[in-house]
Amino acid sequence: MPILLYSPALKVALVQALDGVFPATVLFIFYLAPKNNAPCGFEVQLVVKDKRPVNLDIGTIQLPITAYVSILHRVSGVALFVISGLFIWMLDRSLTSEETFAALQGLLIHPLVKVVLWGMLAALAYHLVAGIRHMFMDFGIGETLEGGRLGAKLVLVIAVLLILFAGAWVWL
Amino acid sequence: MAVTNVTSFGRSGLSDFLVQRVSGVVLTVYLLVIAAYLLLTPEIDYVSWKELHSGLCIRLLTVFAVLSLAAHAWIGMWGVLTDYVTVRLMGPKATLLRVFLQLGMIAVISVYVVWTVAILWGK
Repeated sequence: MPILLYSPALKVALVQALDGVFPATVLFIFYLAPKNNAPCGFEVQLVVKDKRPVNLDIGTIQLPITAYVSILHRVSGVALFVISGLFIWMLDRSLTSEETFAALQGLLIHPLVKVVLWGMLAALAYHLVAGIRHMFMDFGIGETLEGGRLGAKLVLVIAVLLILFAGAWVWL
Repeated sequence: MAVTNVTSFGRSGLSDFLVQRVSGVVLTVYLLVIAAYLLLTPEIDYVSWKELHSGLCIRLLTVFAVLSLAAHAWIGMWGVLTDYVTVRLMGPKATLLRVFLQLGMIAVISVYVVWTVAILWGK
């Protein structure tokens, strides 16, 4: 690196000259403190500017399976915020009186209502299984790259089985 | 001094982390109890269902569950809202919108808790 004699005017001239010659570079100028009676000066470094585009468009990034399991955990969690209200409403109807209990039973026979109930149970089942995976990872189980991938696959498999079971319970 | 956030649940991430896990376990226990009852009872009618919910144990478990739901949903929704309803993603109006959504979320959670206690003791 070139050591230049100190001069404010020289520094300004140098910055302008180098910026004109190398527009794609960032200029770092370090002041060198005087040492052993040597003349003080600047050390100049040229660093190439990073011109790569920053890609934060998640739709164009290929995500690993662990990311999908995590995103689904969030989506199901937000859904359960609303679904909880429906479950509390069902608890309310089922305990208010014999008539409301029967009305709720009658409603739950409707095929479309069964689909909704299945969806509610599916969100619950998925969120529960993914949450249990978090607890395992809190205890240090499945924290490696491969362990994380295996855990994510296990969550999907167990959740699908539970959701199928819930479907059987709703319709049979 | 740790950086704290006025809208988080326990005012500290470490506290929220633990509350999220404890409430998750309580909710899991509640779900397993209810699921076991629903699966193992051959014919569920109003009388048996009402009788189940007249016991002190199940009432306390239900109250613990809805309180856990309140904390769990608060922490979870806070995480989601502070991640996505941000100035970087939505522009300068995001902060006002997020505070509005957070207050709405807290209101809904409060209704869930009061409603559940009313169902158990008000009828």
